[in-house]
Amino acid sequence: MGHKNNGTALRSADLHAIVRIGEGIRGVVDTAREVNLAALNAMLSSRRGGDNAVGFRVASAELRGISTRLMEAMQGLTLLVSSMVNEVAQRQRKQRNQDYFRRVQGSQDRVGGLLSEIFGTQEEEVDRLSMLLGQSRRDLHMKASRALRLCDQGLILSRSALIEAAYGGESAPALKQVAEQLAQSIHSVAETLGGVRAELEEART
Amino acid sequence: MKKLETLFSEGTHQWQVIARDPERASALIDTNEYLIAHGNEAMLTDPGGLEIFPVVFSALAAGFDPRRVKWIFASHQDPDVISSLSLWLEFNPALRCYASRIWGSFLPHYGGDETTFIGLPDEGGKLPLGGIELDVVPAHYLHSSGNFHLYDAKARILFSGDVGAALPPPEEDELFVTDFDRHIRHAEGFHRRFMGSKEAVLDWCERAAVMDIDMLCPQHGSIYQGADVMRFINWFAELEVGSGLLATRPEMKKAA
Ligand SMILES: [Fe+2]
Ligand SMILES: [Fe+2]
Repeated sequence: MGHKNNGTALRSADLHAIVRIGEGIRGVVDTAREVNLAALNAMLSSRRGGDNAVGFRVASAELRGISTRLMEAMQGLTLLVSSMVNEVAQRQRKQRNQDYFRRVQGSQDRVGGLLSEIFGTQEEEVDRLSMLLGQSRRDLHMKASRALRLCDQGLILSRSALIEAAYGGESAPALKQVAEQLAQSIHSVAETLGGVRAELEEART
Repeated sequence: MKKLETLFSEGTHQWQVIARDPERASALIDTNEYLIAHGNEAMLTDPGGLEIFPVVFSALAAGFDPRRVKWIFASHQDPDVISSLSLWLEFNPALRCYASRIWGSFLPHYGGDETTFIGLPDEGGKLPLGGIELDVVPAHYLHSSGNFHLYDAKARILFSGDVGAALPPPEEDELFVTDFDRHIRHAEGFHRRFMGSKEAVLDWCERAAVMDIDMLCPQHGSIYQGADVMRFINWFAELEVGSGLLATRPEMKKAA
């Protein structure tokens, strides 16, 4: 069948982009969960460091809060992504229907008139869906940016945890290791979210 | 390009066929769509698949106001029968579709909602069309398990879905059967393989034999008319069907 034109390829590119964004969000949720667990462990191990490790303990507790907020934020993003999949699928169906009607041939005025009426309605519907999709994309971009700011805070906290770890006395090496791991995880979350945001910016063009 | 051709015409009562599409993609089986009109209303039988919608619609609209089509009759649930439904609904959302009630939750996969479908009971019945009535003739298991034909007593035409269908080579592809013996060779393999039950075949043949039929109109291939109608019924009654089973039970092959 020779009807798979550029339009179809472009439309499936939309869907692929959304799928990649969804994957990214799932990755963030996984890593945020790891951060949450690691921060909890850090809090527990800092107890062994006694009063010396009080700074580290505070930083870890705050990191834990941040990872919880990140996971919550990802829930909102996941909902948006699923509504985007729905919007893209609906628009694709509309556009595919449009393609079929474009292939209708009719020289008579009656057919022409009927078709232009249909094209008008289809165009409106596609425009409406495109607008919805644009809105969801902007929402998603905003939410991703907000989550990235959470990551920035997380990175700052993980850096102070690293500094505080040095005061951990006997536990210092262990605390340092945990702090490094936390920093690495937050960094990878930020990287994924940055990728999601870039994907959204690219999809807009 | 498909073309609308008249099979029967008496006042506002008409049967037309949208047949023959030499330009269709070779991967797609060719289909016949029948348009039955009476008064201000029209019904389209087995409107066909998504991919052929543009040619079917073009051919129809070239000779008939498509807005007069109020009903679709789907003999069964196959994609070559009804997968274009969403496009017909896009053209006219008020269109209603008749089909066996057993497909009620399957057909919406092609489009439409609970208001679109009118489920036909197994025993068949009557369908109103612009003041006259058409008979819904049960033809279950030929080949679909929820399968109907449509009989018009006034025009003496039986729309027979996949029963009577043939896949002739292009050079023998004509609107009406002209040489039954030659034609039926192109129907044999299809009927042996697609029709699953001898009991169903005989049940249908008994019913069809007592009907007054001038034209037997299948969804694929040429139309049988005059004496060829009874020739077909007799041929079908004698045919061994269910040939797919031979592949798994070779001992049946020897017996056959
Ligand atoms: Fe079929
Ligand atoms: Fe068929």
